[in-house]
Amino acid sequence: MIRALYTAASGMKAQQTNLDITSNNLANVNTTGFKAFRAEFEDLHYQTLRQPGSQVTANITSPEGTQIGMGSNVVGTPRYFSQGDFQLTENPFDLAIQGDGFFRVIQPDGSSAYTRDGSFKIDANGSMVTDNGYRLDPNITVAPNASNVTIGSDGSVSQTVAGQTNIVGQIQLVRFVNPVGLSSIGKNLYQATPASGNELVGIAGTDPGFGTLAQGMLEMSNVRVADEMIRMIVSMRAYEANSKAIQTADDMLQVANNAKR
Amino acid sequence: MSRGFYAAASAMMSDMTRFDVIANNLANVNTTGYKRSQSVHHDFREGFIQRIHNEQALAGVSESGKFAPRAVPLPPAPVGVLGTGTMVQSTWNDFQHGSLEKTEGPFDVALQSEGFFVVQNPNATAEQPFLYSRDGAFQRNANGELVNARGLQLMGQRGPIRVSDQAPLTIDEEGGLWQNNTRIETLRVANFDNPQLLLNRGNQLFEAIPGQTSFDIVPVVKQGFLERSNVAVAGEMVNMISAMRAYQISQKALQSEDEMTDKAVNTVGRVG
Repeated sequence: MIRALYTAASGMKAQQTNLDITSNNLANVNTTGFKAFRAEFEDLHYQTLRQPGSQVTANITSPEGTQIGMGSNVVGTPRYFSQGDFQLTENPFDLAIQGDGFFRVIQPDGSSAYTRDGSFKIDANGSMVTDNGYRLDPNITVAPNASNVTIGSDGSVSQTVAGQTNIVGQIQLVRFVNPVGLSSIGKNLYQATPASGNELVGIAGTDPGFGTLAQGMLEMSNVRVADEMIRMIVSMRAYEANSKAIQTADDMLQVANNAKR
Repeated sequence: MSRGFYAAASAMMSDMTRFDVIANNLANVNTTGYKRSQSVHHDFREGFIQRIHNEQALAGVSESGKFAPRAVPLPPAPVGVLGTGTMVQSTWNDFQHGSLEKTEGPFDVALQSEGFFVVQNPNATAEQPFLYSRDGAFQRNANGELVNARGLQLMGQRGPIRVSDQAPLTIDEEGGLWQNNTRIETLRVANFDNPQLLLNRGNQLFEAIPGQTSFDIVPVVKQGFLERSNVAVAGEMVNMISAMRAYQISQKALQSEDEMTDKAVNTVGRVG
């Protein structure tokens, strides 16, 4: 009926998504290894009523055209992979990655998933697992009677059994050319996509770009509350402005209808 | 019928278009690198009003010798001009800079000078190989190329920009891209003599029209920042109110015309 109604509605929808993303960031402000999202917007198609530079007369061209935009849209919700702060826990199986690497874990269906959440536990078999029970890949098993499990900054895991110290495994890290292209599947896990590129496997501290490991530490969420609050205010006000536009469009339609008494 | 009907209707239609443009600005109040548009209104060609039955009385004498004026027909004479309404002549983009938002994204760049980032045209032709944008939110794709949210490659001086993932990327003020203290590439920033001619393509992209040529400039670039939309909500609200009221006024004019026609049809001709 009237373009502006749909244009303003698209603006409201986009700002609603913006608020959804901000709320999810705020909800995960204490989630270990969480990386904040951001909504990116684009303007939609334009209805070109007259092309700029079109001929007005034989030797005069118009200096500008007539184009009516159709609103806005969320074009993507990339994550920000900046480093989160570290929290000292002193738990021997808590690991934080200082750098761009990810841990690789095996899901119950056998496929690989990736995580920055290094709060590992030991299951009944002595394997290092995530909070959801997914094993590290390659699997690291410590002896039930082991004391003093040490994980080096390069990811080498050693244990002391009956006074003997031996190395039980090597934690590998993976890295992606475009981590923003990873798909989030919840539980702090990511899956590779054609956009992220294939995983690159390496050893912490040795291969460049993977970062180093810190034992007894956890990486906290990189959500910054103040930034999110500002985003919330901005999206709220933009939402309001668009709702006013819808009201005005409605008023104009009413005026048009009242022209005929 | 009455000219006023169509004049009032044309004003209502053009106010509606004006409002459409305002609504689009408001919808894009948070769109990175968006440039607000504004409609330009123009009156229709004015019509000349002419006196068609144009006669002049001349003094004369009748056959019986009495004074009798005589009507002499003359060609139609103009009495003045009459406006016949208004129309939207064009829309133009306001290329004023938006404010900068600090994001700290490694591939976020904002232009503090004039000019546009040059990106690949998905429907490239020999004449239009590139599109232009002020939106500086880029990502590194799986091939290591810098791309925008739609996956279009960002252009440097030597073609699509490719960045290694082995070292952090620094972008200097003049658009130089540095990795490991080596300048690997320079951002290409283009400008136009008359950016008003650029065609809006959506997705914050602009397309040059045939015959419009760009030239490269040395920009002022800020890494880790994004240029926000240059839409000011207060200004758009004022424009919205003014469009709304103008629309109402034209509706009243239309109603008055209708009342006058009503009188002419139903009252003037009534007998008894």
